[in-house]
Amino acid sequence: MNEVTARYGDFRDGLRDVANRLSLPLTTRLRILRELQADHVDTVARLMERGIPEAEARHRARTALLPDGETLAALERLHQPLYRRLTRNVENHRLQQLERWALLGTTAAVVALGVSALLRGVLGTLIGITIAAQAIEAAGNISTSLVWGGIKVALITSEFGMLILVVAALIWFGLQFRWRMLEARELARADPVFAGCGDRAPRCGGE
Amino acid sequence: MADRDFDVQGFARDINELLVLATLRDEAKHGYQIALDVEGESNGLVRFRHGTLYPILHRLEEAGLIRGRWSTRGGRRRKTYDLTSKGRKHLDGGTDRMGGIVDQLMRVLRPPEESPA
Repeated sequence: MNEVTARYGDFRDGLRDVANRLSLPLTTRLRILRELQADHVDTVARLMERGIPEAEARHRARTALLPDGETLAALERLHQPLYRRLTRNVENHRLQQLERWALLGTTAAVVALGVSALLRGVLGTLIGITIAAQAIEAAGNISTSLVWGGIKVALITSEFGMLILVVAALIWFGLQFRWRMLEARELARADPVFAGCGDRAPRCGGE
Repeated sequence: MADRDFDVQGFARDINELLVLATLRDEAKHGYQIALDVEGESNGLVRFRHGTLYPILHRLEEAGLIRGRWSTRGGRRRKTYDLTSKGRKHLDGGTDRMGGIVDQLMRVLRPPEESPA
């Protein structure tokens, strides 16, 4: 750590603090941080061009540019996403409950979709093989490549069903993660002892 | 009676916005240059500190009164803002309105001139 940083603090630390305190989508946060960073570099250079020592220039730029709590709140109000604007008047706890129900419904739908896709795929394969077997039986002696060609086509439905199941499983994992997070937050709200719990363990944040 | 209700809380915000728009009247500038110009032209009366300029800039940009563009100058990337035609109209109208408000306030603040005997 150089003398300037030691004396006035690092602007990057300030930016990190801003990033942590702003509860906005990542892209919006990055847009704000990029502008702050660019202005800081430019401001320090301009102040130094005027003969102001580097340490002083950095200090001035930091004071002028890093937002305080009130400014951060104003930025948040200004950039909050549509979802937050629409639900501004809904109590936070109620919103989390609604999100949990929506999450539960989506999870059930994803599981149902994935499993039904696989079942339909397997059913499609079985029907395809059955039809191919009937055709082979009726035709009598036919070439092996023709048989395997038919089986290959029949397997396509199972493959797609499996693919949809894999995608559904990934979404399911994501939803489960979010569900656990909301559950932990509700636990922490109900009793500070549970703060930091990531699962259903009854006293993970306790003694 | 004024054509628009006087809102004390919004007055300061309107002044800040008009000051920012006024500094962009002639050329595009980046965030801190705007702050420096406002401070310089007001003889240090108005200072934007602790990033207070950014909510103003972003609000004006969202309202379409200014336009932000990323550019590179002297090897340094920065976001400059320039006035849109909508912003220019807003500035002209706002300046007239602000002048009217200040006149009325001064009428209240100044003691009435005594009429010559």
